Amino acid sequence: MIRYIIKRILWLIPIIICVSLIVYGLLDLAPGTVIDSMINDTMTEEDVAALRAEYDLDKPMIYRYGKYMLNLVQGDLGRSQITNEKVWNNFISKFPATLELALIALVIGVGLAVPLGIFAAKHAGTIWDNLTTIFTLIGMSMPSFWLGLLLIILFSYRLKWLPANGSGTILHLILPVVCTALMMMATATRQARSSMLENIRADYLRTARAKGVPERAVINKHALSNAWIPIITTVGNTLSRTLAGSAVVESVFGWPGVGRLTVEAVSRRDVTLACGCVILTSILYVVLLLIVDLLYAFVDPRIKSQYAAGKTKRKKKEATA
Amino acid sequence: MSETAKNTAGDTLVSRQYAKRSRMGEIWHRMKRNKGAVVGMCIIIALILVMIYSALFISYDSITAMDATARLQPPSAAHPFGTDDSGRDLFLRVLYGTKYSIAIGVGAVCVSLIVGLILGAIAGYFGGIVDDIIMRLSDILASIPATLMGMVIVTVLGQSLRNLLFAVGVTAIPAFIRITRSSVLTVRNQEYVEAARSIGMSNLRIIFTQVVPNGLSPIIVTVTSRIGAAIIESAGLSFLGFGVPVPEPEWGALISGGRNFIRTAPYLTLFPGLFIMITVLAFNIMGDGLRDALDPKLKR
Repeated sequence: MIRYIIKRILWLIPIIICVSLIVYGLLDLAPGTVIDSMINDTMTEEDVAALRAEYDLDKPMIYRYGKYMLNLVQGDLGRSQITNEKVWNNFISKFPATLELALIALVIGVGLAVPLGIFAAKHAGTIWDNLTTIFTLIGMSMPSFWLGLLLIILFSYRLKWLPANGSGTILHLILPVVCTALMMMATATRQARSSMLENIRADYLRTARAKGVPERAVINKHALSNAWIPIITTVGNTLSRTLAGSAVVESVFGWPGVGRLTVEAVSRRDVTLACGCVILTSILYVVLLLIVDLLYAFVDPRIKSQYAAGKTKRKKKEATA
Repeated sequence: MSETAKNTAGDTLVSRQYAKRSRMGEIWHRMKRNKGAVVGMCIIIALILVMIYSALFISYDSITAMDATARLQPPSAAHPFGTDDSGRDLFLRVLYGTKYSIAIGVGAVCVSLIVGLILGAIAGYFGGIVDDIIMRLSDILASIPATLMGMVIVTVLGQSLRNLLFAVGVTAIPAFIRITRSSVLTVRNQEYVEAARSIGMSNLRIIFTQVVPNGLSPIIVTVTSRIGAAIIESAGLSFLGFGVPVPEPEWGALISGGRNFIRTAPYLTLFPGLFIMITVLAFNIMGDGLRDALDPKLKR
């Protein structure tokens, strides 16, 4: 188990190298540079050349990337090329806002989705099940930014109950949280329903009923404990996707998180800041997926025994996966 | 001797009866019984008709021409969806925009399908070090969040329909590699693959005549549901300003443009989003129907 975790964490190193190479390389190749917005008419050609030299733009890209990587190896993500603020500090100052939004939405979204999914599975084929299915399908087909804008139109402009954007008070939190939670709910409900449905028809449930286990215990103990795996997958995926893809929702609500920071960095060609943000987000994403994998072992003894049994079994599992 | 001959004759008779409804026919039959799939298919056909209509009868000039006398008019008989800040009819712009969303959705999935199918099939079929290399590269690509990757690619290549399509396609490649590889792995050790190898078929031929067709159903399902995801993804990129350049009426860009007038003219935001939702919904329910039709085990 420990070996597995270490292996997965070491795996972050090639990821960081490749991600930085891809993102830094691509952004460096992109037309336009960071100094474009600094040049004005009063500057002479020499001033421009000096500015280019200051940002190493007169040297080949590999030189800039090498310099960047050298710092990165020492744990230094560099400074923003525009504000000169440290990338790490910049990211960390915005991160709590993103995390706050994602976690609150997760608790609400999944907290509602799991009971709803179980409810739908228990009443499979009835009108309630169909209504739930329609709800999830519509939720999954809506772009999150559009849902956000609809919420703003309704609650901020029509009813004037809540502020349209910004952050700070609990009122500011409501709309972004509702928007994110609804998006999460759509996928999570669907997943909970289908995994519950699979379990409800399983033989061991028939056995449980046959030996006289009360219906409530059948659902809560026997069915749900086996349905956790797909639910955890969904929760993990949704959380990592929300943290990574927060750019859109944060832009709609003017939420000062890392998603918006990244969007701004990319549009201003701030290569260092953009690259740093993408690397840190990717690390976060990979670590979350690792945590999800480890959680499986805790909820499902069958998987835990695979870790214990060693390499051969795990290989087998990978082959069938 | 005659006994076996009779048996073979009987077998052909039976198989001929089955042949009346081929595998595709059987899937089609099952899909027709799925209400959602039929509704989804009807919507998609309607959208394709809208796309053809707008390509033939709506001129590009009529949707880009500005009319200062008709700015920000609410929906009316003359302008069913109202007009935008330049006095352009939103209804025509939304109809015209259909082709962008469909093109991006289908095109992006084609990009990721082609690359994913080839790499996934190679990885699953050969295994060993080839598999390791392909899967590790795929993992790396998958670990960059899709929206960020899309933003970076569009920034590099410049804003255009083709580049947006490509960017969205690239981000979905790992999903297709994974699904192809796993279906190849399940098929790889079947007897008929062994049989094909024993009669001396080349690896490439086995992959594309035996392995891919037999492992196709999960891939088809992924394709249908990814089209919807690709449309949402591209609309999001357009909304953030990394999409099709400004005068083009792509739905995400329309929402983004309407956002500036959200207080006075919410219809500018409402209608394009509604179209995105309906389109994605159609592809999603068709994907669901297709999955049920391809895998009868799930239905029971």
